[in-house]
Amino acid sequence: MKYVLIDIVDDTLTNAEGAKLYALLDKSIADENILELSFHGTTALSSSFLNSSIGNLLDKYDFEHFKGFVKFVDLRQSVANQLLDYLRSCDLQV
Amino acid sequence: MEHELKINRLKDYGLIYAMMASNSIAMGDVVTIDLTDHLFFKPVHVILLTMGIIQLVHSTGEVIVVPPINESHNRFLMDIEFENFCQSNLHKSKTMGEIASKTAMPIKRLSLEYLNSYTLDVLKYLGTKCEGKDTSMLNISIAELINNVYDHAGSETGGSPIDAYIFSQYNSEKRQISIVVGDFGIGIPEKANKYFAEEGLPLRSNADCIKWALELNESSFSQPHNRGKGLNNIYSFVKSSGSHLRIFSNDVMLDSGNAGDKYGKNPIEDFRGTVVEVEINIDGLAIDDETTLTSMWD
Repeated sequence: MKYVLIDIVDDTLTNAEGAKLYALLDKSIADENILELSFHGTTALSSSFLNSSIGNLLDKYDFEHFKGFVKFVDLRQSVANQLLDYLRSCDLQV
Repeated sequence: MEHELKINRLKDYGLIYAMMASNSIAMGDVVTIDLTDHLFFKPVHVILLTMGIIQLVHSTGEVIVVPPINESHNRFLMDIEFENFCQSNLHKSKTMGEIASKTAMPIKRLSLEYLNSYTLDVLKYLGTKCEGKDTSMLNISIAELINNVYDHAGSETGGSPIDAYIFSQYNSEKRQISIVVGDFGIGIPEKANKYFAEEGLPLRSNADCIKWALELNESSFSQPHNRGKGLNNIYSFVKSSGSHLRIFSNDVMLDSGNAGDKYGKNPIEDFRGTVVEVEINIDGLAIDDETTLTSMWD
């Protein structure tokens, strides 16, 4: 299943919208469905948004398990860098 | 009773906050703020003036502002709808008109509801000054500053019902975009030391509290989602882009730029709360790379 981030959240800056993404990804991982998350049209991700979505998921699931079910696709280089910086700040090897 | 405060430069703003701290004013008093000889208005002045006047109006009911004699300074204040904001928008947040010069955004009362639309407006008007550059850090800086106020500056209940304001401006000479956020929260040092006390940790000096707040993964965890990345995100960006960060919080000030980090006494005496100013060096922003990666892991 493929989702485009900007279609499922109103912004990528706030905790509230991060929580929406968390709910979607959490269900997909729990159901063991592979989900492709497209970052098409996304340019900026705040730490609050990432904390409430990916950060909380990585508290719940092992990173390798997470990567097995969630694929980040269609990313601008700057967005990929923001994600990599965030994951590194969580002490993950990426 | 009538009071008069002459405000010309940054340290003079302390007069406003000292007056409030001393409880020397009462409802029914009239406070005149004389800006006649004010020097160039920097974004931080705008926020401090706005915050000070709004506080004074709450305390006295009447504040008279004597405008600057310098015509361009006066025009600037009119252009950013300063008077309008301090009067008609005192108790509510609303969308205001565009600025004619397109180099400054209107002063805005903070609200998470407007975070996304505010960042979009900044990109629309000030982002055009960053041609060929990656402006994502512009959005992110605004978001981190606003989220930081909501997460940390408020009362014990969090959710920041406190008064907080934002102002953004482009400086063509310096090729900078300044974003300033000010709040009347309890201040970073007090918040951090409260957290240390609760955790049974030794208390720190006010400057060390600011240092701690800027470190990665250090947070007072006022909200469950806090992870201590927001201010560090801004601090790291400032360091990597040749930008500038100033934090005024309670009685301490940090000035962080190319020359390193300097901690000192807050020049605005008796100030309680936090003002964070980020001066983004446009030429230090990364080149806008439109390359799209098909996938991140594979």
